[in-house]
Amino acid sequence: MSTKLQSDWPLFEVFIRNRQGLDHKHVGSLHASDPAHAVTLARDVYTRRQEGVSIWVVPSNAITASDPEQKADNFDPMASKIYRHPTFYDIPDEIGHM
Amino acid sequence: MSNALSETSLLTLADTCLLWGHRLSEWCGHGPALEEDIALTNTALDVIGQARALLQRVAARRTPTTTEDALAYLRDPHEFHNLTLAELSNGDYAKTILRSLLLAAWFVPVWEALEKHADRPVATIATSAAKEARMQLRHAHDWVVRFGDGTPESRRRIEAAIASLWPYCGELLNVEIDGTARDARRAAWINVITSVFDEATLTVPTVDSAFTADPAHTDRIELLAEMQSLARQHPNATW
Repeated sequence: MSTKLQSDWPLFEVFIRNRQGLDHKHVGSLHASDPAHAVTLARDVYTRRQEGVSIWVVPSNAITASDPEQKADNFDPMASKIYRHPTFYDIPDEIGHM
Repeated sequence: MSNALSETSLLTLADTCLLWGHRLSEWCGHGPALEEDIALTNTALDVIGQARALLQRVAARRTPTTTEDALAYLRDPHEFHNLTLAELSNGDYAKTILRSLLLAAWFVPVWEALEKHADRPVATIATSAAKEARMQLRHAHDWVVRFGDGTPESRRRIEAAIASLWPYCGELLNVEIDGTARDARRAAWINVITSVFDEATLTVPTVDSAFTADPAHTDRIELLAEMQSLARQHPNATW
């Protein structure tokens, strides 16, 4: 298999919405020559076992990600703020399960 | 069973699917890119599945001991009814893709006509096969446009593929399949091929030049020698 060809093709991230789901979930990535080609290939690579009813593809280089180096600064402070979770309310019995 | 599709029609469809599926399966592990490799083997599984379903219909009508496996693996080359186009060796990717287009453009109107056929088991097979054939057509269409309207090298390859495969299209246009109107199929095929070739900036050869190719079937004999070797060397083997 030609690795040259694949390295020439840009990378796309693939999102699939399953039969019951409302949101498209990230399932992986693939190389394709353009977005339409990526959708065609995503159908063959990621929906072979009835995983989905809708496909989105996004060029991987269009995604701006948080810096892994800043993970601690970004997210650790939330650990001590349990008051942000609505777990301190008494829910009346009449409401039932929420 | 007056509504039933004739055995010749069933075998034309089944054998075309089976041999084309085998040729596609030869790409497994050799595709130009991992994703394309998977696309081709998915198509191989689609058409082999269609072949199985149709061969089961044939087997059910023959002796009680006839099986789909016996029909696939134990018939001799002269007993196959496939379109010659399906049995030819693969060549390069352009030739495989063009063949996929030529066959899918033929299969789509065939399956769509058979979806309404009074032979209900065949109509059921046709309903799912039509979806698979339309997908195969879309994939091949996409690539033929890329080859034709791509680089000088890709264009050279698709033009060579057209020169090599076009002579086999006469047979495809002339073959009779029960329950389908040949002239309508022919018109539908020419429409699709013309529109894809136009988009790909390719010239459609005249249909008159689509003569029926040499019926020596050397590629069929070679294909079956490979495909049937295991079943013939180990009769009744199971796996």
